[in-house]
Amino acid sequence: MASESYLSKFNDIYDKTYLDLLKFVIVKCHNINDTNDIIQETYLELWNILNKKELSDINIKSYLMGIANNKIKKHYTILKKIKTISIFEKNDKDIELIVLLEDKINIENFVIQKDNWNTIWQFIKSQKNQDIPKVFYLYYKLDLSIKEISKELKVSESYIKNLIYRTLKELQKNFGNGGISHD
Amino acid sequence: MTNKEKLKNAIEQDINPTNNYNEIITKIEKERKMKKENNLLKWSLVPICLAVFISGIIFLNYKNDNKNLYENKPYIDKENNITLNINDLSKVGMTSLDADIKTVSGLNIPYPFKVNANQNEEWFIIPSDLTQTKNYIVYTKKDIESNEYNVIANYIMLITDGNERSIEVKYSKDQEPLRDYYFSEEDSKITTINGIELRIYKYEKSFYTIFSYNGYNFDIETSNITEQEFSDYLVSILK
Repeated sequence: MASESYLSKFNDIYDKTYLDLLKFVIVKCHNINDTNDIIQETYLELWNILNKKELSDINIKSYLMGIANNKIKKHYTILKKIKTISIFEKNDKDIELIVLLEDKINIENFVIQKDNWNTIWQFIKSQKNQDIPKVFYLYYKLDLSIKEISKELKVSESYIKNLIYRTLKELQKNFGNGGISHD
Repeated sequence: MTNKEKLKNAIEQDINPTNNYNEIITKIEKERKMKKENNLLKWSLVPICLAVFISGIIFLNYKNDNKNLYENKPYIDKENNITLNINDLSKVGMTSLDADIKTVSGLNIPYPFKVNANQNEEWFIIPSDLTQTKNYIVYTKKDIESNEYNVIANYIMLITDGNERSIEVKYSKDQEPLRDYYFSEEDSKITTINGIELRIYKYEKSFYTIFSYNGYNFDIETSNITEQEFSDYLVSILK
């Protein structure tokens, strides 16, 4: 078993930092499927450091983000980066779509044929434009606002709304039962 | 449950803090186990490395000892009064023969070795495949102006297998036999056989030796004869 004193300290850091680190990795990574690996590698390195030296006088959260940043850099070769570059225009300013999303398109309006949200999430993750699963994670899982997501991802709000709108339409087409229902 | 909550659940199942934590702890344990095994392997390698190291030292010492024995130390046979030194040459100085000569074959030539009534030529130890013996006389001119080759320079006894293996014995009473190569005698070691001093040189597949014996000056050159065959031959003729 891992040393009890180190484990206790590690558990404490893990509980306090997990969500922030997760958000950081989701935003920074090139593919959301790598999130778990990067998080595990980051904490594993922290564990090894904790076993070697005392980290009492540092901001552990920033320290952990630094480790994660290095892990992300190491994780992606240039080739991987090229493969995941999106051809989707990030500065799309389609005002109509924003209005549509705000007023009519809502995830709750979808009637899903089978209650299979795991498959839907896998479908979202498999999109070539990896901003799509990132936005969905930040918007639906972490409850960040469009504005907050736009700041985190450094993209326009319209681009985010456009992504959500188009993806929801795509989901309805593939998993819906008779199209979008408007209440 | 709303669609949003259902999607949240699906995401939660995929990227889950508890699952990640368990994975991290499993990896930590795996790393610790690997480190332990590596340490065990490392320490188990120590005696192996030590054994290899000691074997290496023993081997090198053995090799050095043998090197001294065979390359630097002479072969000594006190019983037969022999101290054999072979001077291994990296190169042989070649020169053109500074004399006009004429070689005449098929003649009876004087026999240079000691022979008594009970001994004959076959008594000498010659490799069994060297079955052909040819005799030559080498003549030179009296002087440069002379047209006649009438001065005997030396005799040659060529013992050969008819192919590449041979022992060529050149000898002369009054002077050293003519030859078209030279050796630097500096630092060369002397061989002693039955009290007769001679210098033996080795170059590639040939042995050369120069010595005086029984009132003759000898110059022997071999081709494709082994060291053992050559030393046996020398010991047999210098008895």
